[in-house]
Amino acid sequence: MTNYDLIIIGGGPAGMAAATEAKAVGIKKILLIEQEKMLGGILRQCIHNGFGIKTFNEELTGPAFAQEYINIVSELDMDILTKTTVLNISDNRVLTLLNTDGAKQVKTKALIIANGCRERTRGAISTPGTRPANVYTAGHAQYLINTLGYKIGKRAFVLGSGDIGLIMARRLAWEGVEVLGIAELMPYSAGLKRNIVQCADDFNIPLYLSHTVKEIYGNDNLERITLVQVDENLKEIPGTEKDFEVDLLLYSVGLIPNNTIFKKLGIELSDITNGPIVNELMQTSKEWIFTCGNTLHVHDIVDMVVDESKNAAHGVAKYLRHSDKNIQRAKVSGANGIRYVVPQKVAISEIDNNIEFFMRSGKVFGNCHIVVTADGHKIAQFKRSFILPAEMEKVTIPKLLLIDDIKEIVIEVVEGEHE
Amino acid sequence: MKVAIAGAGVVGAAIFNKLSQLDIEVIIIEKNTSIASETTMANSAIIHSGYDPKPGTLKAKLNRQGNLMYPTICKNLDIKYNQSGSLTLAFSDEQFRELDKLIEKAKINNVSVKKLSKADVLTMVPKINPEVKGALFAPTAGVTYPFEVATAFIENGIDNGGLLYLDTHIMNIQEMGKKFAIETDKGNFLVDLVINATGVNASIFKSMWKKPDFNITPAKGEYFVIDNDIEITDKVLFPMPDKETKGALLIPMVSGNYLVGPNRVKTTLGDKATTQSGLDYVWASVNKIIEVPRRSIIRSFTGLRASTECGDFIIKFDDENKHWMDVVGIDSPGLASAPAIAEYVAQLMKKEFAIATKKNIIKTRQGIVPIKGKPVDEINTLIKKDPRYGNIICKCEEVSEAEIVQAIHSSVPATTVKAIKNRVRPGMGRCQGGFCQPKIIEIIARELNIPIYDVLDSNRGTNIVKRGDE
Repeated sequence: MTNYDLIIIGGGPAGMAAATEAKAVGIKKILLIEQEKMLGGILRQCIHNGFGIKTFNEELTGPAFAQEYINIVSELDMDILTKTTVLNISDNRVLTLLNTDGAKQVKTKALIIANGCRERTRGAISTPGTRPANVYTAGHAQYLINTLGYKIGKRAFVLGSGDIGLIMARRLAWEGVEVLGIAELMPYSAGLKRNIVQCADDFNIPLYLSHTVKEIYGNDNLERITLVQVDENLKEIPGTEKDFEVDLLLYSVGLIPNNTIFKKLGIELSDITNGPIVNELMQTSKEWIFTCGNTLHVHDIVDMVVDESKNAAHGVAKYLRHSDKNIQRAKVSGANGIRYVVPQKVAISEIDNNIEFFMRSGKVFGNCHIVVTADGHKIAQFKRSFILPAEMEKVTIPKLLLIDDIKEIVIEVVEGEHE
Repeated sequence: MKVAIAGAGVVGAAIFNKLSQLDIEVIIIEKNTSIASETTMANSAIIHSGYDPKPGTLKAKLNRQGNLMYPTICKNLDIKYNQSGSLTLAFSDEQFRELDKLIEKAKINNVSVKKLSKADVLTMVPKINPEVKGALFAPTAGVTYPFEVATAFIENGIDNGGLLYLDTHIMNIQEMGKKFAIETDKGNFLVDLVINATGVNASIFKSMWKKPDFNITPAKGEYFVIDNDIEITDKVLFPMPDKETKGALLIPMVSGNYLVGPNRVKTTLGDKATTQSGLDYVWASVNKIIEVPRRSIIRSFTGLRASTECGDFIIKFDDENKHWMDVVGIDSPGLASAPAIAEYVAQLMKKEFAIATKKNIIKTRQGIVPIKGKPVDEINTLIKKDPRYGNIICKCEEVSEAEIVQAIHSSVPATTVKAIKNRVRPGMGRCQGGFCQPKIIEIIARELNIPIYDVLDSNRGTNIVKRGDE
């Protein structure tokens, strides 16, 4: 049985960034596992640009960003297995791998799980109606159109104004598909501002805020949908129904970390992120298992994934050097508009120079501060002209602001000018 | 003698299987591109114990008999079957007393049941709502996968000489003395007996020949499918029906998923739509019994029951012509009764026609071997035979390319995305095919040697990839 210091599951940006950094910090024997035939992950189907401004100092398309990392990783001294599935992970740190050569077992000292997220489907949100063909999640349609080059409809509607929904609406318009509208349940878009402008506005695609799909029609093929307006409690308002004849309906109604792998392992999950609860090492409740990227919590900017994944590599390196199971950790949580903060636990004594907190707000804020308190004392604040639920926030706290025996760190939004 | 069965749902499939063991010619005609894609694919998957039907009815007789047949059938035909029993739960003192009436009925129906105390129920189903007062335990109730049951029946029937006609539309039927001429878009058949097993379409089908003497009144049942990465219970949970409503069930499926549902709403033929009110009802109903996490919902669907006004199964020769048999009104417990229905049909036939049993009947059938859950050495044996076992196509359900290819080339071919999903499960999982459907389209095109544009989602006209000029 081959022995590794570190195995990384998932060859998307998180896995590749973690692998690269792990090598840089001196972890010797590494295996990177990818299920698809090549590295790159979902970036390979994201042919729009806007990736990597921070990581590579230029705006790249998804495939170009992926290729940059593939080039880096291929130069490194590590094992890479593509078209390989992890069938099982056992508590004695043995992984069962499967590919067309057979099933085999490998052993590792540490594991980074970076297997991304999946899309919430029509089934998950239980839109009433029939179950015809041509109802897809946005990413699914994106793969069919961008990666495979297929035409899948002529008249489309998009439910959900998340980034993928917006980008796919534009993509369909480019492909000559008539996009009748984008509906959003919330009174605000779930996508990045630039995407609302560049994808919906610039293509005259109407954005129906506070609307949802009430019913789907068509027995074998999609024929029609009914759109309905919702009130502030997200309840449908009778009499506001509008019908659209469409042959393609895309769902962009949220992403969910691929957390089944953690559930099987009995790893503690967060009810808010749906991903594992981690500490400053990006370490889960199983000490040898670390995680980063969209399987930890869903990101909107790949640069943040890269930052977080580097942190995971550093965490593994520290863990491999020494592991102190009884270390005291401060609890980190969000308040007043901050839905969650990752990592959720932090050992101040383990921080090198500073610590990065990733977080997401639950509503829109303008002209405000992100305020960090430690055991009730404010230790830092960061000015923001706005905070959006669609855009993940990151703050970096220097270690010198923190003392070792802090019990609780709370991060919140304070509106208006603040001292 | 030549027999044509119309409709390849589980009832038609069971009859096909039974008749293929007799010394007659038997064909089964299905209008859809896949077998078992209507009521059989959208029901509760329960092999009811048989305590519940009204004593003296065909339902009572055939349900119990079918339930007793299932363990052997599933063993011989390689079908998954979990016989872990069902609980009918009482949540009030009145309901608890009412259980005695069910026990009386069970006694008459000759089905063994047991009354459980609150403590017993809590031991058996620790997650049950602690308000529970007690339950009726039916240990012989089980759960299977209806699509696999129908597949196995037909595959084994084909092995014994029967013929399957898929995607074959019957256009016209004509009585010709002691025979019937069946005109289809795939050719014509002259047969000595037509068996009407067309489920919800039974009266429309019979109308092609004559005015039917029964009336199908479809009843809709709505369901949720719950992810298989959580554990709730291994028992089928029924609420006690009260005066107003029957209440919805929690069903642990053989795939590890759970079904939540159904309700019962009278509707019209072809109405397969879920409704907000229906889904809200089944969800609230089940969550009164046991808590099911909302975020674990992966799908909702509707099935139609082929109910008749008389409330019992109708299995008989046409009153005027013994060359036509109706097997209609097979609503619940139709799945549980299916093999017994087939026996009953064969008995009726033997009384009317001189029929001998075939020699050298093939009694067993091997299903497609799944890779999921297999130990390393077994996987490597499979991969040695077919390396495509090492290529996982569906990540959620761990389905390999080899399984999909076998499904496509089976004697009951699964040639559409939906049929493959029903047969070997890619797309059944939490991502609902978002990752694997594009790969399956390409495998279908490759294996059938057809252009990608001709790959279907389900029935004719559901081409997934459109041509440029479409």
